[in-house]
Amino acid sequence: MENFTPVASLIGGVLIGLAAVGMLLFDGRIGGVSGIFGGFLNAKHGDTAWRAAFIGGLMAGGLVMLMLKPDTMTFGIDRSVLSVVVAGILVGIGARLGSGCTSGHGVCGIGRLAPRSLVASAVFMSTGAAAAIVVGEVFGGKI
Amino acid sequence: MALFLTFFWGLLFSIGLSVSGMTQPTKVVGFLNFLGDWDPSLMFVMGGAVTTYFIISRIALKRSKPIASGSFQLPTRRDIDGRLVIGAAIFGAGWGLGGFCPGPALASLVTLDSNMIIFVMSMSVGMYIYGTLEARRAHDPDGGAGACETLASASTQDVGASAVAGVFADNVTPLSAAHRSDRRLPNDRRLPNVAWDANLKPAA
Repeated sequence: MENFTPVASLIGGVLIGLAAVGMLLFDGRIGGVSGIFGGFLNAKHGDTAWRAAFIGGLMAGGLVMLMLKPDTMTFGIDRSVLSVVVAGILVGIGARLGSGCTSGHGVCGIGRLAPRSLVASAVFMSTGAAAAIVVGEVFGGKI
Repeated sequence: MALFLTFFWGLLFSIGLSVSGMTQPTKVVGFLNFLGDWDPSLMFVMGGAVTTYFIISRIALKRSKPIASGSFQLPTRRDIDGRLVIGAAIFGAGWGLGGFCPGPALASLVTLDSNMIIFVMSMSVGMYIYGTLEARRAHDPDGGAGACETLASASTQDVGASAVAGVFADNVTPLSAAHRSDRRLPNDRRLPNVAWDANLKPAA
């Protein structure tokens, strides 16, 4: 557990929670990244500005952290291009089909005790663990 | 002003992701693979985020409307269906494989690291393909009953976890069943579903 960062992770988690609940309190929306971004890609008339603003904010935050603490913005795992492509496609399709990702279901959904989100989060945690274990223990962390 | 605020929430969200370590796939994979050198950090991220959201959302939803917009746009579904479970399973597999979920991936795009760019492009393709198929199924009567759902979902799924059900309706504004169905405006898929089925069945 040499990489364990309980304090930073807790503080970061609170910031994530504040941002997500800020979307609710001010905009009345669920702060789910896959929904906001997916809806942006399959845009409908008059429904893109706020999505673009949120995504722009995400990227601006990334830029801020890249300048302040670049070591928090590193990929750091051994994956082939094919693996990254497959992972991206699975995440994209799965998040839309399942109506949410770690932010929409994991934070906002569980935070509202929504039954669909509790189920979805349990499922993606399980298959996520299965995938990570197979990659880590069977393929030695390199795939 | 409202857009500026939305930008700010995105910014704060992404700073939180980065501070918490979620923009490092190493930490995500290190959590998910509990048989390896386990890194429990993600538990603290979720704990902090969910607790914060839980407490403040209770207060927020006591309001009749959000501070900067006309109404709350929240998912109202409560049923657990195959799409939810299969979608979450697929999502999880990709998450465990690549160590990235959509938020951290978008936040990391600015590093211009080739892995991040390839991931976001692939994720976008996945989302776009799904959205296009959904839109097509919605307009294709041969798509059967499943397609009907998408009529409404195409416009509403975008709230993120549109799947999330109505704790809101139950805890904050208790409504009769009849009244509640009146409130299922664009957010509910079941309403158009019924109408659509009713139109189709006689033809079949």
